[in-house]
Amino acid sequence: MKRNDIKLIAVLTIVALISVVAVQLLQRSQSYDDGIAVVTHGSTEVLRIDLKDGSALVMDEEEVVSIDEEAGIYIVKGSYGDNNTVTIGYDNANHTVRVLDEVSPQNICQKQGETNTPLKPLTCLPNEVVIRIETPLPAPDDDDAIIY
Amino acid sequence: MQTKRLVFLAIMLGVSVVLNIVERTAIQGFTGLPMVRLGLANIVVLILLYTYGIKDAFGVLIIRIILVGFVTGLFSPAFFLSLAGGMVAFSLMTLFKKLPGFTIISVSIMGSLGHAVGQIFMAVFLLNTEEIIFILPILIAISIPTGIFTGMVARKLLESMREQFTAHSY
Repeated sequence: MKRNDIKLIAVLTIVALISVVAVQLLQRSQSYDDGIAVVTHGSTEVLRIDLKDGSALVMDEEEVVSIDEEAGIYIVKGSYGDNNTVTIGYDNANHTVRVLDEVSPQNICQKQGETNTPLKPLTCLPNEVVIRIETPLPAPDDDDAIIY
Repeated sequence: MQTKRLVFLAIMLGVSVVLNIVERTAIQGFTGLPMVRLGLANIVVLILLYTYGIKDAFGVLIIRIILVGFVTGLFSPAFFLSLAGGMVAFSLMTLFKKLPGFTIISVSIMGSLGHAVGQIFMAVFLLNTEEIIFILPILIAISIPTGIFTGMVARKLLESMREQFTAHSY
């Protein structure tokens, strides 16, 4: 290795470490127990899960297979293969959601774990299902929410 | 000479397709992160860049992406991710190969990094989810050791093939 190689590795390592630490800190500071998990399939918004209590608001009935709010299990349609589904689980203790089951070559989105931060969306690429976290709406008595 | 070149390129194409499929099926799932790979198929692109040049390396890269696309699904999200990653990686590799003072290790690291960047931006576009960009720092961090690894393997292979080709500094 030449001197320029070592310089490049050093610069990239420093940049990577700083940004990894920054993203981790941001994720911790921006996790919302009262956020909304927005489930989309392709460009269609399918479902909204309230992280406070796991209650679900169906946005597109055609895309939802089943919902069990008591158990915190929501099954939506996926794109990979015929009649494929993605099972989403709600954790009442941590106020998070995660992908419990889906069919894909590597099951990567199951391994992404749980989320309740906008900085960590869960992406099931072959199924084209994405779970994004939206921040809670400000309370009506907040000054910022008043429009004169 | 032309026959030798065609046979070599065909073998390299076959090797890169097999490496890519093995990597997708056997290695990628361990990390739990989308788009993370060792980049074994990139070893072939590196070898071709340093032996037959930019045109042949680019040709093999494109044909490999299309052939693997027949397995993963042509025009599927995985295909577009590979295409975007491959294009950005190849651009950065050719740029860094031309810059003085950088060896195949830096070229390989930039290829690995470019692959991550290209894939992330394509994923943001395909899924219309800007937040995916927050995966990028961890992918950059992972691309450094994987780039060093593939670069060292490519350099070792090039050294063993030195007699076959004009002498290069790797």
